[in-house]
Amino acid sequence: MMSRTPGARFATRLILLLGLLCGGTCQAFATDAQGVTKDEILLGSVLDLSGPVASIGVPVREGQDMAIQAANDAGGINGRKIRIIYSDSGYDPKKAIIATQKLTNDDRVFAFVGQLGAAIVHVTMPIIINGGSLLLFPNAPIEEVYEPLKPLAFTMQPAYNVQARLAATYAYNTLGKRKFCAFYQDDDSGEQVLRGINEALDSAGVKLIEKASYKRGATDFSSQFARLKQADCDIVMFGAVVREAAAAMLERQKIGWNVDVLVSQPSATDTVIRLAGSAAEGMLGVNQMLPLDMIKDQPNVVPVFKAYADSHGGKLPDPAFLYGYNFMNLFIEAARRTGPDLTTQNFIKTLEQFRDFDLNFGMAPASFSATQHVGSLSTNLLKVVNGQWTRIGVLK
Amino acid sequence: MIAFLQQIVSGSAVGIVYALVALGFVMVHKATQVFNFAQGELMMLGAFVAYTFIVLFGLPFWLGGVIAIASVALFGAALDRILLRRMVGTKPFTIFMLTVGIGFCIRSIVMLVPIWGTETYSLPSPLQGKVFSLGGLIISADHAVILLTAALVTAALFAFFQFTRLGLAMRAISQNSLAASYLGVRVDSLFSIVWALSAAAAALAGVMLAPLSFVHSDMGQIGLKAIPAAVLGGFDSLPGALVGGLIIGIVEALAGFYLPEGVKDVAAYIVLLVVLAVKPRGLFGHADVKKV
Repeated sequence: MMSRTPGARFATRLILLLGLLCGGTCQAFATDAQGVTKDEILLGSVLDLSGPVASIGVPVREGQDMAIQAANDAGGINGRKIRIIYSDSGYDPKKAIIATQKLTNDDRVFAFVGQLGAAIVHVTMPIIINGGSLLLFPNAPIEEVYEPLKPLAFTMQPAYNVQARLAATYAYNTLGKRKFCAFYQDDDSGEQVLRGINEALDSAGVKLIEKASYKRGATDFSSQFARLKQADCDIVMFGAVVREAAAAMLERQKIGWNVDVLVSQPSATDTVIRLAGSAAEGMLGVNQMLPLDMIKDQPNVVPVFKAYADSHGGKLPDPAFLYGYNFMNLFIEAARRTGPDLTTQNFIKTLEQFRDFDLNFGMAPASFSATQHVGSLSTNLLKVVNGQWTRIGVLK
Repeated sequence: MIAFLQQIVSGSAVGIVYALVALGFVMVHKATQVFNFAQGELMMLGAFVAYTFIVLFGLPFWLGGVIAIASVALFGAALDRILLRRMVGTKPFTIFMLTVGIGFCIRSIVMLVPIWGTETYSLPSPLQGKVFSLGGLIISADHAVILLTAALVTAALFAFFQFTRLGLAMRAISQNSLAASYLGVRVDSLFSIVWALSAAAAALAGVMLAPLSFVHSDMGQIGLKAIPAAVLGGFDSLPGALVGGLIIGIVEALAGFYLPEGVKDVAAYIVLLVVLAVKPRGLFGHADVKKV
């Protein structure tokens, strides 16, 4: 018979309390299910929706939302609907930190998908990982996401220098170029491209003969191109972004200089052709994601673009839409394959089994493993032929 | 020599765009003592309105441009009548922050308009791609039009301020608005006209810049380049704004060609610092002397 002394009663209550707590926490440890309930998977995403790169953030969000809508309309993932909380960073790291802390510590999201901006990901990645959320497929081609490997971080975007190195190696080995010049944006993304070019040229034993930079937002490139033309380059490697790349191609056309140009990923888009017109003819480029015009007639793509056009005045989405759509669908597929017991560890194990998973929506096939958390290190080699991007190869 | 002249021509064309935006800063500041931080965004608005009428509605370039300039001028006047006139008597910093806010609002509204948004658009001029060759010197037709238009606008503004009653009244209020009002000048109405003219100058800059740099919601950043142009010329001098803009454009172009990598982006500011060290009120500025 149980003792009825005060000490025994206290001990009984304590044991019951500990039992309840243990039951609850043991359940939590067993599922490790931050951001996952019976009905819902909670995601977070900090994007620039109003600041200097809102032109990327807004279409990324649109792509993510369309992928989520389609998955939820089809019944969700193993019975769970996806809910995503967006926060606008305005491309301000301080705002991004506060938003990320809230999403990971208060809202306890399962994963951050599509976090936008190299500077933003650089400051928020430690917060996300320390908070126990996954960092999945950020829109930030920086090496630190995957090197050194972090168990909770996966990306589809290798750093810009990786693609630039492949591009410069191709130009040297296949095109036979020897007098390399660079035209690049004077910021982190441009410097990364420059680094990749120099890595490739160092291996080949040559150096850049001239380089010219510009500040983001510059409108006149006449002095840069005059200098590059004077240096008599046989190829100009671009580390530029859409508008500036297009304006630079117009300047190149204006001065009548037919030098070969090979542009990096941000400029290998349909928008550059639309803005530069005939000046873009013959331009080479590298991009992990295929330009919209190359995939828009695919049977699986047509209904998606039509649905977009119906709600956006008949327009095709911006190229950045593909990043949002594909990266979210990659998450959806990994969550689906993980099954009903969706925990962080189970998700990681599932994603690490992916081999050449191809969504056939313009994105390179994804392969992850326990030792590689970057989904693809190859890139498409493209050329503008008759006013359209055409794939002429794959660089690995 | 050819390369040197080439940079002068290219730099002048860009400098004229800075100058037009700077002209707007100076016009408003001279008359109302308000520093309008939204001048760059008014330029951007002009470019978007021109894009809408020319590309979306198919109007001829010149007509779409005129409509854009007129409508942004009306918008500038409305800003004065509805918002800024209520701020008379408040601290200058307050009004300055109001114009900062107006700039942010204009940009945000442009991004929300469905046919504009966050995309970049091409607004080709009728002379797009055409170049003249003058003894080895390559001059794009667009640049030539910018320089010619600026010369005409400068002449028109000079004639307006020198030979018209309205221009005389505006010169009066810029020197002493209180005395001008005692003499029967309708200061309030003239302030709105100044804002309209300033917005028109910004819109003209937008229409001329758009074929070169495309139409997008970040165009207003040019406003930051126009501020040194206005300061360089002397913040109360209209010809100074023009000269300041030209100097900034040409210095940038020459620095970009002749000087080491990276100097181009700071060259204009170095020139500004040197000029202000020698002439603190800018090249054409002068100290205001009020006699009682």
